[in-house]
This record gives sequence, C-alpha cells and structure tokens, in this order.
Amino acid sequence: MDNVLAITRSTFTQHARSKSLYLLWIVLIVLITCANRYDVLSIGRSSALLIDLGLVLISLVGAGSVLVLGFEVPRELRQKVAENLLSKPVGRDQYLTGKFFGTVLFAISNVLFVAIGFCIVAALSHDASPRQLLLPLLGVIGMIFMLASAGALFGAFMGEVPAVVATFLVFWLGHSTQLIAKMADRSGTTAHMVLRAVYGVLPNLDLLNTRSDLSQSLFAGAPIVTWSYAAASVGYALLYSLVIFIAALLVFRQRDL
Amino acid sequence: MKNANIGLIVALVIGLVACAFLANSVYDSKITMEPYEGTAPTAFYAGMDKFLSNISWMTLVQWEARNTGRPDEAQLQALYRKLDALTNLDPLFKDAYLDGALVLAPAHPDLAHQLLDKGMKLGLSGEWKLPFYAAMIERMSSHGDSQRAEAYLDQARKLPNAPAYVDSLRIHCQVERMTDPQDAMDTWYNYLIGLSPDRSWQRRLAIGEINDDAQQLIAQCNTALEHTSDSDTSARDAILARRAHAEQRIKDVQEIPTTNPAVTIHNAV
Repeated sequence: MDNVLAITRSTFTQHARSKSLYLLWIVLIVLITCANRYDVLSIGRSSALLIDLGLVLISLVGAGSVLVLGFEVPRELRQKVAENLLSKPVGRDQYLTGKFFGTVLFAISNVLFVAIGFCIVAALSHDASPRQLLLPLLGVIGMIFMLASAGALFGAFMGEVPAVVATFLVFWLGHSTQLIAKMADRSGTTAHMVLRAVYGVLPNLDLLNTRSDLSQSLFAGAPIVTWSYAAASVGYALLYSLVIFIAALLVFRQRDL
Repeated sequence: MKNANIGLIVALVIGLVACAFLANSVYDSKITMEPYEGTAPTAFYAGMDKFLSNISWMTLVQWEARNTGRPDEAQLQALYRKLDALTNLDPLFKDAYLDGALVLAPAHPDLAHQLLDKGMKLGLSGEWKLPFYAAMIERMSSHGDSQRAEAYLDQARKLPNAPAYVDSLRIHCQVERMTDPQDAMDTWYNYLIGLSPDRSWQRRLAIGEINDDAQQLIAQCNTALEHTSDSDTSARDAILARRAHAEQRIKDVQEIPTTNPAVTIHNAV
C-alpha cells in the first residue's frame, strides 16, 4: 500500500509541478469569461455559450490530463525507468495502480482548478449557480476514471503514441456509443439483445455527459437531470473503470519487460 | 500467480456483465428523463455537440448578415442544410427552428415546414410557437391548406403558455372553410360560450363575428323568402327557422358581457 501511495504521489507531483500548466488553465478561465462578450454575435445566446464553453473545456482538461497515463507507462518502460522501480520490491500491480491513481488525482486537480474558476465566472455573470454545475462536474470525474483505466490498459501493451491515440479515440467515440443503443431499439428482438449487449460492453461516456443536459435545462426548458441519475452514471463509470483496470493489470502481468 | 490471474479473469467477466446491465439501465433512465436524446441523431463530436451548435449558430448569423437582400434558391437550400446540421447538434435550439422557418417560408414553405416538424419531433413538442408558426406559414402560403393550418393551431392552443389568440385563429381557420353562415355563426357561438370571462378581447371578437354572420344569414333568408313561392310552405318554414335562429343568436350575444364583470367593477371603483 505504501508503495502504491509513493508512486501515486510521485506521479502526481511530477506532473502537477509544471507552472506553465496552471498558466494554461488560467488562460482557459479567461477564455470562458470572454464568451460573455459574444452577446451581439450570437444574438443573445452568450449565456448558453459561456456555460457550454466552460463545460466543454472542463471535459477537455480532464481528458487531456488523463492522456498522460497512456503516454507515461510505455515511456517509462522504454526508458527502463519502470524496470528500476520494478526491480525494487514494487509489484507490477502496485506500479500500475500507483500510476493510475496518480494520473486520476492529477486530472481531477486540473479539472477542479478550471471548474472553480468557471463556477466563479458563471456565478458572477448570473448564468448558473455552482450547485447546478456540480452535476456535470461529477460526470467529468466519472469520465476521468473511465479514460484513465482505458489509458492504463492501452499503456500496458502498446507504445506511447498508439496508447495515447487509442485513449483519445475512446474519449472521442465513447461519447457516441448511444448510436448502438438507438439501433438496438429500432431492431427486432434478437438484434436488439445483441446490440444492447455490445452497447453495454463499450465505454459509454455519453451516459456521463450531463453537460449538454444541464445547458438544455438552463436555456431550453428541458427537464433537469436528477441527482439519482448522476449517482447511477458515476456508479457505472467506477464499475467500468474497475473492470478495465483489472484487464490492464492482467495484460501488464503478462508483458515482457 | 495463476490462481490470482484466474480470480481476476472471473472478476473481469462478472464485472463486464454487470457493466452491460448497468449501462443499459442508465441509458434507459436517461432516455426516459430526456426523451430528445433518444430521437436526436447521434453526432460524433465527443459530447461537444451543444457547444458546437452555438458556434454553428454564430457562423450562421454571420452568413445571413453577409447575404442581405432577397435570398436566391441556392442560398435558401444552403440555409436549410445549415439549419438542419445545426439542429442535429442541438435538437432543442428553438431560435434556429423559428428564425430559419421565417426566412425559408416566403420561397420554400415546404422546407420551413420540414424544419418546424423536425423541431416538434425532436423534443420541442411542448413549445406552442412551433405549431403556431407552421400554421401561419400554411395560411400565408399560396398552396396553403386551411385544414392543415387548423390542425397545427389545434396542437398549439393545447400547449402551455399558448396565448388566447391561437385559439381564435383556429376558429377563423375552421370558419373559413364553411360555406353556410349559420355553421360559421354557431361555431363562433360555441367558441364564445366556452371562453372564460377574463378573455374580453376574444369575447368582443366572437360577438362581432356572430353579429356579422347573423346579419348575413338574415339577409340570405330574406332574399330566399322573396324567391320562394307561398305555396312551398316547407321551404318557407325552413328559411324562417334559419332566420329566427340568427335573430336569436343576436339576442343571445347581446346578453353576454364583453368584459369580465369583476374587472369592470374594479375599474369603476
């Protein structure tokens, strides 16, 4: 456990000490604030633009931060840094678990940094209350867990670039898997069951995307997403992350170093 | 080591099955909660559809601003495609449907209808302005169908926040298709007695229409009586009955106050 915590801490501090990163996050918050100035260009939709831009940037910050994991594990293996660690009494499971939690912690801290700035901007512009913004934030944190586990899985057997690309594809396509569920609902009984099973096995990031739903409820009068739904979707994200991380552990155990 | 792996593999399989069930259950609850998610086309923009719809809207505004003057056929087709793409990104973008329909309506009422119908189908079925705009476009169009316009107005009047004039416009559409002034008069009368006392404007309108139709009916009956021989008693009786009915309607509406009595008393005080 101490080894896992040590690797988690070192992974987190290694990435979090970069000052330019925080400058980038501050620039993002300024960018969100600037959305308020587009009232004329958007014909009165600057509030919707501000909320949508803020939520999109938060999700991109989360996803971008997680990509580090897909990059880092293969890089450390290539540079033999991991071998040094693993030659000490640190197991492969401990190494990967530490990397996973370190990356998740790093991504969550980045998301919180931008989210707090965004909440202040949204509250000052009276577009949304911080309590309302908490709901999509939970979804982003769930997404971070899912992407981190996917990054760990791909990093366990792929090179640096392919692992990052594969994790990014999970982020990009994972938001559109509902297409399969829609196809299932239009199909006959057997096809419905097969397609729904395929849908269930895929990483369904759209279930965690309450960002659009919040915006729709604020500006288009759509029903408000319930907390019970948010809890169920985050529960799904945690379970899925666990399953994929188990797969990552299995693959990493078999890997020749 | 092998046992540990087997344990993990079992956990993996059980976890995957549990995930499949949970994902489907969460998806179903999402679709129940937000039905538009189930009907809207799926976009591949990493969940950024809503944000991109705003960008698309701003681009569209700029595009429209550049093309001032009467839009040509190519521009109208391009506008429809842009609006279609935009509303795929955000199926609840009310302004895009309404503004787009207004621009398309003069030259392409069919495309304007397609756009408004899409909005109603994709999640704005509770928004009265969409069927109301559809009805108005139908009425204004040279090939307009009064019955179709009436159906849209009937849909609009039942929706929340629909103003009272939507219902009176529906009656107008209904009456327009009637050839007999007695039917028109009775339709307006039925509408009038169903109105709540606070709708004084609609009451005045209905009373005016009833009076006009009744006068027209009385004039028709008088003319018909002049052309009907005294020996044809059954025909004369029918005409007299129609005239009496019109006269009775005029008396009836004279007894109905045009304004809410409570409001009148309040204003007087």
